[in-house]
Amino acid sequence: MLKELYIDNYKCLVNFTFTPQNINLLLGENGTGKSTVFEVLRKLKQFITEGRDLSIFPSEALTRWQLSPTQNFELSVSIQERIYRYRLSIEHNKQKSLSRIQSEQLFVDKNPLFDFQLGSIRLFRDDFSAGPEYPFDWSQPGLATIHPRSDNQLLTAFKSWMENLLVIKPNPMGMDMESKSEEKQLGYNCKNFASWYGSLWLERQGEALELILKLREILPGFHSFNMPKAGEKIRLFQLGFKAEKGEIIFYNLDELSDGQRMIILLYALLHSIHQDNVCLCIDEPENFLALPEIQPWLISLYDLCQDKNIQAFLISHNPESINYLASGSGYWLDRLPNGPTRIKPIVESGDTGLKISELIARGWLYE
Amino acid sequence: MSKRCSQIVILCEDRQTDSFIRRFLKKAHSIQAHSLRVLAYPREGDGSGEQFVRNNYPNELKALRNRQHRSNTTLIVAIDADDKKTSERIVQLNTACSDAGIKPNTANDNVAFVIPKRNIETWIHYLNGKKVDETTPYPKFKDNEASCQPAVEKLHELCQQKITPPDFPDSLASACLDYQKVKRGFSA
Repeated sequence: MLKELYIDNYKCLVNFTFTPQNINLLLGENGTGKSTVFEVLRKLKQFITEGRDLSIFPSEALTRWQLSPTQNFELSVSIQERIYRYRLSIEHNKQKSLSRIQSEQLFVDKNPLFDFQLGSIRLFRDDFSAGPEYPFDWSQPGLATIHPRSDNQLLTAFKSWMENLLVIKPNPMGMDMESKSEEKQLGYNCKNFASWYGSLWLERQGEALELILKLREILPGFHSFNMPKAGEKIRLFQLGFKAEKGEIIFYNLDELSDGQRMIILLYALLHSIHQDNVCLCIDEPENFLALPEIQPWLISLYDLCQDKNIQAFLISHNPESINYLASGSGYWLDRLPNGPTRIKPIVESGDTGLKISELIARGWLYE
Repeated sequence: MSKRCSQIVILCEDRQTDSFIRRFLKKAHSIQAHSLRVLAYPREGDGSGEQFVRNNYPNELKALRNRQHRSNTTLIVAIDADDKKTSERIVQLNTACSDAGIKPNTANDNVAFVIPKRNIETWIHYLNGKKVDETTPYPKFKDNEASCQPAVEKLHELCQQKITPPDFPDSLASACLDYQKVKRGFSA
């Protein structure tokens, strides 16, 4: 579970600290930095687990009104009752168009596991004894290059948590209707949903079956999925709906409405989670959903977070989500023009007589 | 990102009243949409507009009082008098407050009552130069609520010239008095 996130000198996030809880609803006007928080989480994941180089943190993302050339990111994560702290410090030289890693460090319960500073990596074993030290390219991610071994299980546990961090902004209009290969990671806009589902079906049929049963409850007439071959290595992603006489008619994914695709995706996400300590970040999940669909999905997510130790972050402007989750799980992000983002938990002050969504719509919340 | 907030809340019973009040505030005070919050009124024609205003008024008055110390906010309550007196409608609104356990409107509350008699169309037809009384139901401007603009312009002109014509409807004169009470707080 993400316990704390610290971001400094990245776009509108300056000295920004967020201490989240189990389920978190980020609220605020347009341009207050909600999606930027998600962007940083996604980039840290790419940096730590996929080994993406520093080009994902361009110097243009330095806060415009700050003079410091250094960006700092910190994650505090709780995994099996241990507290991991990951720190990344990036120095940009705008004149030379160069960026380098000033430091990349990982600690567990304040003990070092990984230390990359001034072009040199020092590894530590699970018993915190010093391991090998070797020179390394300052422009490349260091932690991403460390492979699992018997003596670095703590470090590997942190990287696994990062792999289980999912940051998405679903766009049903951009979903591919076919799968070219099974993909374990869902893309940011969920374009590869069909390929991701293919992987779910192959590897975890129990969860895939549960999803089918759930969708039968939710989508009128829904019967099953079908992935027929449409060429070498290509499979179509189809959904079968029961017709009046009982026969099943299959439709390609792109023949469904945006809302139907979104429902399928959102429930598939919930049913794909088969382990604890998964962190879901979804930017505006209710887009395209009909009103009666929003709260049931939120309830499912909420229960999942409670039952399975799942952490969720949602960004929303939807009154249904706001009124259901904001009290107790809501955070308000705010900033002045050309000023840094500030975040505070939403606390209902007295009985205003108005719903939180109405207070927000009037600009009366934390004015 | 900015510190925009609604300075004026409009609680009214139909689209025509909403349109008339908003257009007047824009004309007289350059008040734009972001400074306003119009409560979603019931569907036209189901006859519950007046009840909607009465039901929502206590809560809106409570919300107004809650933020009175923080910001200058005005609540505009617009309800047709229909076949009742303007004062009777105010009594009904006060009763709704008492029933909800909320102290009725006082001089300290920034509330303006707009109670056209018989309804908003009476005022619009009058301002458009027609001879009206306050008991006859006049034709609605269905699907053409924007056609009230000339009437809004006329009302603004009368306000500026501080003229009250002899045939000015009583209910409009009464609303103008309430408007005088709250208009100092309006800023674009």
